[in-house]
Amino acid sequence: MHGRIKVRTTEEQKILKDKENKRKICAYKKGMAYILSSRKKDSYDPESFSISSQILLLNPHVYTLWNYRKEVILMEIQKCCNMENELVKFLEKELDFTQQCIYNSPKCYSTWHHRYWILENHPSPNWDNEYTLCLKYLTVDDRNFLCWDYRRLILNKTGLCLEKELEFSTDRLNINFSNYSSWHYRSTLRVLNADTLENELNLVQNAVFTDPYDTSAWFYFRWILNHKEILREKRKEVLESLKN
Amino acid sequence: MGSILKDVELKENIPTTVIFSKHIEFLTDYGQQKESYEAVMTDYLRMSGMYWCLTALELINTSPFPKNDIVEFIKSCQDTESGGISASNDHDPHLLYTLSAVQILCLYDSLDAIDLEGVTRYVASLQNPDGSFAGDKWGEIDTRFSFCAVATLSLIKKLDVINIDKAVEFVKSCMNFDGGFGSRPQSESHAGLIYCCVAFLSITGKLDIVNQDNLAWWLCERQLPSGGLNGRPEKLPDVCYSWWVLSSLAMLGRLHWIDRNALKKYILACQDIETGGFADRPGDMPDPYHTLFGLAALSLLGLESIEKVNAAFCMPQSVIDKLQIHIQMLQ
Ligand SMILES: [Zn+2]
Repeated sequence: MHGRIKVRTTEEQKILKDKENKRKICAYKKGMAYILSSRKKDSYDPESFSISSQILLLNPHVYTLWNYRKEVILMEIQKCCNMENELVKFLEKELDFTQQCIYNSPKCYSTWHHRYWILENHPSPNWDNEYTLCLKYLTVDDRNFLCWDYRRLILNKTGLCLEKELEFSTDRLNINFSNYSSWHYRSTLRVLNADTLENELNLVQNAVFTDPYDTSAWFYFRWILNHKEILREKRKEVLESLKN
Repeated sequence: MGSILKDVELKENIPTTVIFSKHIEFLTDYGQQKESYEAVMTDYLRMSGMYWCLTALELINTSPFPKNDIVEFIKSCQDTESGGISASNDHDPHLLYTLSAVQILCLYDSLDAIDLEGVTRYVASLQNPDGSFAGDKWGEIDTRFSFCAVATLSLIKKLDVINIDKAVEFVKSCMNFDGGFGSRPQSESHAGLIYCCVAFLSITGKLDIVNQDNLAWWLCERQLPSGGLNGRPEKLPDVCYSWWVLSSLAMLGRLHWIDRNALKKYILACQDIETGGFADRPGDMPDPYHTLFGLAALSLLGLESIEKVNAAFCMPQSVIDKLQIHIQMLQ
């Protein structure tokens, strides 16, 4: 529903498109009916499972199919209680699958949640791998807030090394000063006090002077300047310098 | 690195009035074509789709669909076990669609048609010990679901079944350095989630916890030279954010911080004069979602030919009045 430009089509193109759409509707409905008719509490049909992959690759928003896959995973967990290798193999495949879906549609809540859910049910989750994956995705789109949110969940698992994360946020800002997500992230890390204020003020002043028309840094600037530990003279001096 | 302003330019020949009859046509068609490509491929959100269409039509004083069919459909989507309501028949219950269903039933004065005890039980079952809400039994947590929970319970007069203090505490823990809110603690501020949190606080009467002017400043900074509003800094304008931002400002008592005429011009420019309906941006494909939020925003801007809308529920004010529900609005 977002960013779909209206294109003019000829009558001929329209007929072709309609035909194609009819085929897609038919396949979708047939697939859904097949999956749902085989959906049971104690067993599952591999054919249905693979049809659900095909549908989700095209349309990851069909949340019911992710629920169905979670039910299947729970059955696998039950089944494999003495064969951890088998289970891990199954779960790793499912993780790969979510990665494909995220690649196709990076802004689908259900997919990110499904991935996290798998790892929570994984006997030996590799959180560090997820950490690296997030960096990869943020390099593609450094404003994807679903990826940032996911990264935060991962950090809750791995534990957060403040120094490393501050460095990460400085790196992100150096790549792009106008990245509001990075400024925001920095605000969650920085405990403002007499020791840190000077450094933050320098950083954000630098950003604002580099590109005064970019709005991102100004919000951080205002936050820093409003801090009670900033001396009145310092605030006055900074505000004076903005007049020029 | 110089920044390129992310905005759109409005053309000369843009519509400057609301093309009501076209919108009625657009929304009616959308509601009737249950077998169209769009309808089938979006059946995972049909209940919300119906809420967008029907509310948009109510705001322009039309209700072309037989009430019985709609109520029967909603009844058929309620899960007898959990009490929750699904997006459509082949789908699982979820808080998002439970709210949409309850909103539609309020429009039609038919709340009694479903098992309200079930809905109450469902919503209450999704609250976590930290006060947050999951969207369904699979545990995704988001402030959107905190809003859905209190909005649903408020409409059916059952707010007392959840732990409100804890729920407020969780929403408060999602407040950021810029005064805004995100989906979870420490998540970036986003106008859609700000709306959810501000409306949540307005419904629960706890708006006093917000940093009123700090947040309102962030919100009014969403306005771009085209007049349109974006949802986060350095993003493109989009009609749905007209609603999320404007309704939040209305609840914060700072609607006047927006250039109303410029915004009105932008929203009107997003109408599709051929098919009716509003798109996110001029020249894009229209859809019922942006049509509702475009009309609702125009209502907040005081357009007299559109019914008055309630800022927290995005429903006609007359419906909320009839239910005798009062929301908190700051001065
Ligand atoms: Zn939008």
